[in-house]
Amino acid sequence: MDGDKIQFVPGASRILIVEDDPQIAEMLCDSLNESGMQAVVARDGVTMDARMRATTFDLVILDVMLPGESGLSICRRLRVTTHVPILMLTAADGEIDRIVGLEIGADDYVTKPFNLRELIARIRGLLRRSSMTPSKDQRQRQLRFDGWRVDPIRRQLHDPSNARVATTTHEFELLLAFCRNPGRVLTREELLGVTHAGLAGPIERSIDVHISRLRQKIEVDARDPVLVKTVRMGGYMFTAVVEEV
Amino acid sequence: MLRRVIPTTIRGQITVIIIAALLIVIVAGRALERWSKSDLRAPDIESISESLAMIAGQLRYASPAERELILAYSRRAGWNVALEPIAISQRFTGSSNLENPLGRLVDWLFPPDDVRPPVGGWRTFLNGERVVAWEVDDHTLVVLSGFPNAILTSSSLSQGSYYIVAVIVLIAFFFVFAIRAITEPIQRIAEAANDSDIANSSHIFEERGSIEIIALSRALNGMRSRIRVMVESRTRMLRGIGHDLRTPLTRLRLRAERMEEGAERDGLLSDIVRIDTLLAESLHYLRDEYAVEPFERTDLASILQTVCDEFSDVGFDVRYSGPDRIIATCKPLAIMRAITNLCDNGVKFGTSVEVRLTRSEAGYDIIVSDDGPGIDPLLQTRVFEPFFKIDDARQKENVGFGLGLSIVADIVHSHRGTIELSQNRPKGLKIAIFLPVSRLSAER
Repeated sequence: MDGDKIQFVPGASRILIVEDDPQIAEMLCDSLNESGMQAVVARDGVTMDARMRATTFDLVILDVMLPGESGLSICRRLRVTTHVPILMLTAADGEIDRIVGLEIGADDYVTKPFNLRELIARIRGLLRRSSMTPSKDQRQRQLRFDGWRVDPIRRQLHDPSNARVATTTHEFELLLAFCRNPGRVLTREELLGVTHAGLAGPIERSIDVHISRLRQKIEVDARDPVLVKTVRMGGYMFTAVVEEV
Repeated sequence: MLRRVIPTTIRGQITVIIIAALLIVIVAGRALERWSKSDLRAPDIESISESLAMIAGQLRYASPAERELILAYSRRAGWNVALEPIAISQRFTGSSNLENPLGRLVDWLFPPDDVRPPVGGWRTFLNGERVVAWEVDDHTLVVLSGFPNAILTSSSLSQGSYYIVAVIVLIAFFFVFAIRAITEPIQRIAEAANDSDIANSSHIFEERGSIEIIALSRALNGMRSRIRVMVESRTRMLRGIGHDLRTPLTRLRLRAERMEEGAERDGLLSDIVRIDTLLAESLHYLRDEYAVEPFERTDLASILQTVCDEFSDVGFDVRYSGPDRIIATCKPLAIMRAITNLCDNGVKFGTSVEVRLTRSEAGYDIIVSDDGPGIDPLLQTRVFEPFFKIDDARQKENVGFGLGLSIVADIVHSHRGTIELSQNRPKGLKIAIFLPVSRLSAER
């Protein structure tokens, strides 16, 4: 994969892997290529810049621990100049690192040692999302509805009295989907696509189960939902007025 | 201005207090003495005795009719006097059982001035009542009765004033001094030590007060930062090891995942997952990010509900029972981690777990109970120690470092809460966590 002239297959997603460990980079590169993407490796920030000048990429996989310029600094720099989706790879896990990564502009975050299938699923999710949603900026902005506050980066939800309300990953993804599509009917299939960006667990709950849990948390009376309405024959509709903060 | 006058050492402060107290005693004692003698005109036994001697002198040369007149005038002036035959002095006693011991002590401490004592001495009692008597002539005594048993001598009035002032002034001064210079700062230090978190910001002991207290605070701050440096360097080292292990582990994992499907691949992968779990567990423990997490108003019920749902979504029987909404001030991520660890243990050893939340006047009770084998009561305190593992064949499949429960205990303690293990009926383990409400809101 060395050399600056790379022949790209038209139509395949172009992925740039910025990773200093040559074996990890190579295996990752091969795996992505096998799953129908086109991956290129850069071992540090300088090589990455050269690669990015030569080609436009659909997604960058960025290791946090790099020789020379750190992954976080590269991420911040990239965010200023491009809108390319960035997936961070890191050896550190923990809420704070995740938030720092996402705050400086990464779109997703995978902890080493990662599960290859999960990584590919996330890459696909990112590619799909970036073609759907207009701008990254908007996706990171806080949302407000009916006194509630949704923070997509910290993945936090605050009720009208400003108390934090915990949600499962699925509930939060559903809520985000609702907030970004207020007043629109979302079908169960659409909602399923949102909650299953990663891997499905051994038990697949129906969308209705997640919706009823979400209602229990945000509705005044879960038996008489006002915010998340069931639409006959269709799916669900979010009735609240959503504003970006 | 006042600060500059007050010495900065406790020794100096005590000296100043004693000098100030002495000055006040001299001035105020003198004033009180003057006041009690001249303005209050408190009667003392010497002046009474002197007056009675005067009456006796007048009676001596008076005719019986005049005597009656003198006595009548005296009685009208409030003097309860009577003429008695001299033989009555045989019945005088030196003490009375009606007299209280305090009066006796005062008389003993302050003997009357060096003047001529009355008949029977200064302390004379007739039929248990204190009297003063003077000879009128060879057959007759004039006896004054009807004043309080504990009549004060004139020296008790003058010296007593000094004593009273001295006692009050010293008690008051030392009381204020002890509170301001010793008790308060020590209490402050004790509180700071209680609240202290090794990982927290630098100076927690306020360096304020007398020099001794400042020195104590400084020493404690120094000790604390040394401990912190030590803990930090050790943590950094362990985290470095953890990080460095992750790169080869990632390589290993990628290699294994790219192998052909089969038993060998599965075995490799499950070993890798196990190593990864151990690494994650110890890094979690070392990171200790729950110590620095800020307190926040949180729907506690939603946290427990969410943890239970996450478990039941992957196929475990973990149920929540309790109210839908309970707002509490706590560290939300920490609580989530604690309950997750407990449920994790629960499903490891049992088949079903119940998480219960109740609100009481004093705080919040969270009870996590499972139907597993439970823990031997003898080991129940030890399971909170880091790296403690119950040596049991059952655990082989779910090997961990034994940090789960000690993380939980740390989190509960950071909320000033308590955690208790007990036997669940009919079987299993019951973990009761109590988070006090006052403490939680005080943190904000």
